[in-house]
Amino acid sequence: MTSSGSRKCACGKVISGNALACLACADGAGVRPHGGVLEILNVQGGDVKITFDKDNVSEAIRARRIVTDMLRRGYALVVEVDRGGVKAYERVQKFDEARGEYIIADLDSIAAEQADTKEAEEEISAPAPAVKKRSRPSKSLPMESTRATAIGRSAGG
Amino acid sequence: MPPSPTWKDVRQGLARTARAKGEWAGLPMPMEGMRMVVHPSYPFAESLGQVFMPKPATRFCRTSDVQEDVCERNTWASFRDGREVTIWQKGSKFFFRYSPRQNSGTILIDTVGAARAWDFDAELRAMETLRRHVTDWAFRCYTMTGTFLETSKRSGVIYLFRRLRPTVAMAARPKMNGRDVGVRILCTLCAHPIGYYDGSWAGALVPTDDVIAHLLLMRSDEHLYWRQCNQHAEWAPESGL
Repeated sequence: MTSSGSRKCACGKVISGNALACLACADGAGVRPHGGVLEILNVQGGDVKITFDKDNVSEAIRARRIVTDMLRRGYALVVEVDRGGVKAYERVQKFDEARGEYIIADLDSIAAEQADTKEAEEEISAPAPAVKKRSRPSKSLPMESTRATAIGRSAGG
Repeated sequence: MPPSPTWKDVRQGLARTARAKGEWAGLPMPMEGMRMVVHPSYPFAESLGQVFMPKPATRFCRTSDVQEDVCERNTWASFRDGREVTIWQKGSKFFFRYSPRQNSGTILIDTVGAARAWDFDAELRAMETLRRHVTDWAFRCYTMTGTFLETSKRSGVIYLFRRLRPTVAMAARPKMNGRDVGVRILCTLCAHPIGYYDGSWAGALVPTDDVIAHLLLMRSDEHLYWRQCNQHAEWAPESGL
């Protein structure tokens, strides 16, 4: 970030606040300026950070167990993903403990919402026979290179 | 005689217990005179909610306390008057009364009372985290006013995220009859991870962590966000409007 408040890509182009890099850089090299880290919104400590070092085997195993345990206990895990150079957020559906990968729905939720609306409108105009339900495509993200935030179970308000 | 523990000691003790129990988000801090509502799956959820609560006063009712021919028939909140209307029946006659005008004064005072539960450094760390998630302008707005705006690309709903108040959800679409009414408030959305202090806007997490939780859930899974939140009408005192 510059002193005037605007952010710049590594190539020098000014980018928006949510972007990690300009479109050209993001498409070319797959910019990933940070390693894997899990931030936990914590009562006593503010934010507790767990970093993943794949060279340290015992730490990696411990981190995988923590993530599995969190999902089992009902925590919401939100990962940051890169969609065309713009930072987006997705909720983790599952976690592959053996491979250490977050599994998220592999779709652009905004595009999917628009497609669903269009499909529903078409169905209303011309009702089609019953079709088989499509399974949602999923995508795996290695925890060593993904930034995630864990949010505890909600008690309402 | 050993010195009595400080709030910091209690906080550290709870942190140790949370680590031992594998609760990565920690355990909420009980406050004197304030009832906590904790998600039931947390260890000690029920007992934590009752710690430091005054003993309830006990009073035995007599038969003369109750008038058998009086009963309440209906109660509702009047949107127009901002207070509750109650109708009751005595024999064959009906009576009504307005409750005093409702406001959020007591909620505000209780929220101030809960501030002792939070760690100041934790709030600063949470603000640093929030800074990473939002634009510079949004962060400046948050620092200056305690609020910032964000529009959902998915639904078009405009959210006003607020520190220590429920998030305001607004729509800029015309109503069903096609009449353009500009931006209107749909409701306010209230949710606290882990738990909250009953009768206040304070949650177990420091205020900015609550805002981060709202923001990230809205961005990642808007349906889940709405499911998890209690929806308060804009005129209700709990909405903080």
